[in-house]
Amino acid sequence: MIRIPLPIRVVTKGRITLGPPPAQASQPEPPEEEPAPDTQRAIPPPLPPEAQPGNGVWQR
Amino acid sequence: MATLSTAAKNAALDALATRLDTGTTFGRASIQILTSGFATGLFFNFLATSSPTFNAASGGSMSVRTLPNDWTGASADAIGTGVAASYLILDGNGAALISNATGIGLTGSGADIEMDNTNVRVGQGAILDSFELFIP
Repeated sequence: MIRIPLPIRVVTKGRITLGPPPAQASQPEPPEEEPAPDTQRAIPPPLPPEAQPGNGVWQR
Repeated sequence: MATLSTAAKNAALDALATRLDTGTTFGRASIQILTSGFATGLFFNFLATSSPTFNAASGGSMSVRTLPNDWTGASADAIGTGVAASYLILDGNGAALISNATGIGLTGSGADIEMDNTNVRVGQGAILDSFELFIP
């Protein structure tokens, strides 16, 4: 058998450009400030008429 | 050592192109960029938009017909962080037919595939600017 070496050598030539690095993960926004609690004393709703002073219903 | 005529080189390259585009998994040739020694850190996988991947060989050289897009991962970006160093050229079934464990280098290095930056970050995209195979 006669073997003849063939100079088959495949050469690769390529070029790659990287894109921009990915953006950093955004920081979570701080929660909105809770409104300051109302330190004034809450005003109670008006009493019903029968509960007004002098309007009481007396029962024997 | 025998010598190959240009016609013989073209014939060999055309046969290789046909073989690379054979297979049902990907349907055509693809180019993978990996970490050193073909480690599992796959960065990019370039796949031509349609087959045939390569133009007919001419002058002992064969270039890709349409530059492949990076299709690694769901977002088509790098899926790992590290240094690109090796590459594989796969057939349409995903079998590696051509490889070089140290074939990636910086621009001007003379490496098979030159990159402007071999430090890849996960999520980073890439463009294959040019690619050809030839028989010297």
